[in-house]
Amino acid sequence: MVEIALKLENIRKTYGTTIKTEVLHGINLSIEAKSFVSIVGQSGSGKSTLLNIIGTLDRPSEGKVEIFGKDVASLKKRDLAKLRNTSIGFVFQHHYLLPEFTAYENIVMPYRITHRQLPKSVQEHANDLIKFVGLEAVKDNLANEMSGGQQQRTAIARALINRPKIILADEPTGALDTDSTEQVYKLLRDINRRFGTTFIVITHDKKVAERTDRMIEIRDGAITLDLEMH
Amino acid sequence: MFTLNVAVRFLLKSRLQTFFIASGIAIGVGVLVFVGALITGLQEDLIDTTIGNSAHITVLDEKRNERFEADETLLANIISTDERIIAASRVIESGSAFIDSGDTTDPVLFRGVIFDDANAIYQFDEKLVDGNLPSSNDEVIIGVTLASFLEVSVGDPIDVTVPSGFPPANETYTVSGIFDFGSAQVNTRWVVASLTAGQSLLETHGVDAIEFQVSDVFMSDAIASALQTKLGDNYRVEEWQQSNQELLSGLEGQSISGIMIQAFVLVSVVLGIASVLAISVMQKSSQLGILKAMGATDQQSSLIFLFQGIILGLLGAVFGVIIGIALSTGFTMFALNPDGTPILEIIVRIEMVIFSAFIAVLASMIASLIPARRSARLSVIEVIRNG
Repeated sequence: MVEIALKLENIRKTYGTTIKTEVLHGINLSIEAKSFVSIVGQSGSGKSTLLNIIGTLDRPSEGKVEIFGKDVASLKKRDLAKLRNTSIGFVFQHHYLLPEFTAYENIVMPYRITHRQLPKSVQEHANDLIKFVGLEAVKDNLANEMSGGQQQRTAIARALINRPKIILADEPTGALDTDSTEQVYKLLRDINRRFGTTFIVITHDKKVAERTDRMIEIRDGAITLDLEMH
Repeated sequence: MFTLNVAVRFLLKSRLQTFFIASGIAIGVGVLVFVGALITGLQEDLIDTTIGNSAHITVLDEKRNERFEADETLLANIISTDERIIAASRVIESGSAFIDSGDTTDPVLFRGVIFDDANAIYQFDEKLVDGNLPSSNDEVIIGVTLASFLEVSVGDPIDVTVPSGFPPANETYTVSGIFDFGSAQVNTRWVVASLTAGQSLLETHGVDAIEFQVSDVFMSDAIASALQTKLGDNYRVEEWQQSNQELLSGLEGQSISGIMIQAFVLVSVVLGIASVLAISVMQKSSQLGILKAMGATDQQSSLIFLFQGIILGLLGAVFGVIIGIALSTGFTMFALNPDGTPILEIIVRIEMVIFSAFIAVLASMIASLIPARRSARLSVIEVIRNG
């Protein structure tokens, strides 16, 4: 039987207290482990809200989120932080990196949040990741001393440092040019194959979406299309 | 530690901001140290002038005007009451004596003391400007003002009369030394002889009082009351604070104004840090958001700002102490009397410096609690959505 990485049951999200706006209308979704899934949709469709709920950054107004069989509603804030730290990697379009730190320091940051020491094995892992994403030349540069593509690759390496089972990416190539987009997409695909990491990627780039295993389209807070691509 | 590391990097990233706020704290601490030293100096000076050369505690006969026998046993008994009693001196005196110099008579206070004991309180030996302490029972020392009134100098005779008896007691003494206490009262009135000389002139074996100094002048009331309990109703114990209430309330007023200044300085330091760090939370909100998304807890986010507060406080404290000591030293070097002595001997107490520094760090920490709270409450979603 295929392992389920993520299961959403009847997820609703309402904003506002006096004037209530429901942005997600009962989403049901199940994503297999090790798969590479894209979520497409227009801005305002609710796809980012959905990704934030999947990433436990936001709580649904109604419904159940299970990550590898674990109901996240039962977790306290501190445990959610721990879950994000160990099991989920984030790649955002903006807010890539901490500009006060170098590429290398940014990459090991998620590990350092929960550990006092940085053991040799983790340092080696970080250096492997740096090599893997092709950042050897700029690893000691401060975040804003790198190009947009380099910054995003640093963010990807950072998302991988704790060997998470799921990586959530919100428009990871949205701010990049065509060449960098291609590079970054290939990198994500490589990671998916090599480490078996589950990917949920929001994109508005049809070409990217078509090359994923499964494409989910969201419109007005509901799933309107769910395609297995291969 | 990751939170400390982030705190340091945040501070280093905005160096100018860090410099300004640390300077603000440093100036605040400098003022704390300086004002503290100034007030301590002022108070010590006042206390020293008032009671430095006088008895802190006096034991008298219950009826006050009667003399009493005071042997070594009684003295030892009293001294053993409290280890803070550092000097004890028996004294016989006659307030109604006068010196007859032919055409005029000058009223004086004739005192008989054991110089070895009395020096511990009055430092007669150090106050002599001419001659020596009396070495026999027919010698006395007198004040500079009296000496100039009488136009006598060391080696000259003076004629002391005590009119209380009948016939009045009268004795001629040789002036063996002249002292200067820096007090008109003492310099014009005191004639000091040995205890035995005094007892023989006043025809008694008793003493009028036993005078004491204590190491902690503000504990004189407690020590005096312990002494009173021990000695019982036959004696009367007086201490300086009873008869110097005005001075004490003056000192208290000074302390309060000092504390007020220090409190306001502290408040402005706290407000400065709190506002700068609160702005810093806004500036760093995207960093904090990403850290939280990566699993940093709310506590860790607030620790980052708490550490910034502590670091700023430590920096400010170190430089502030330097500023405070420099100000104090400058004051004693440049604020001088015409004769070149400092107007006021400023006293920088190490415990006060440490206290000021500690208060600065504590205040900075408290000031950083507000931004720390904001940082803890910062929602990742808001940061990402508004990014």
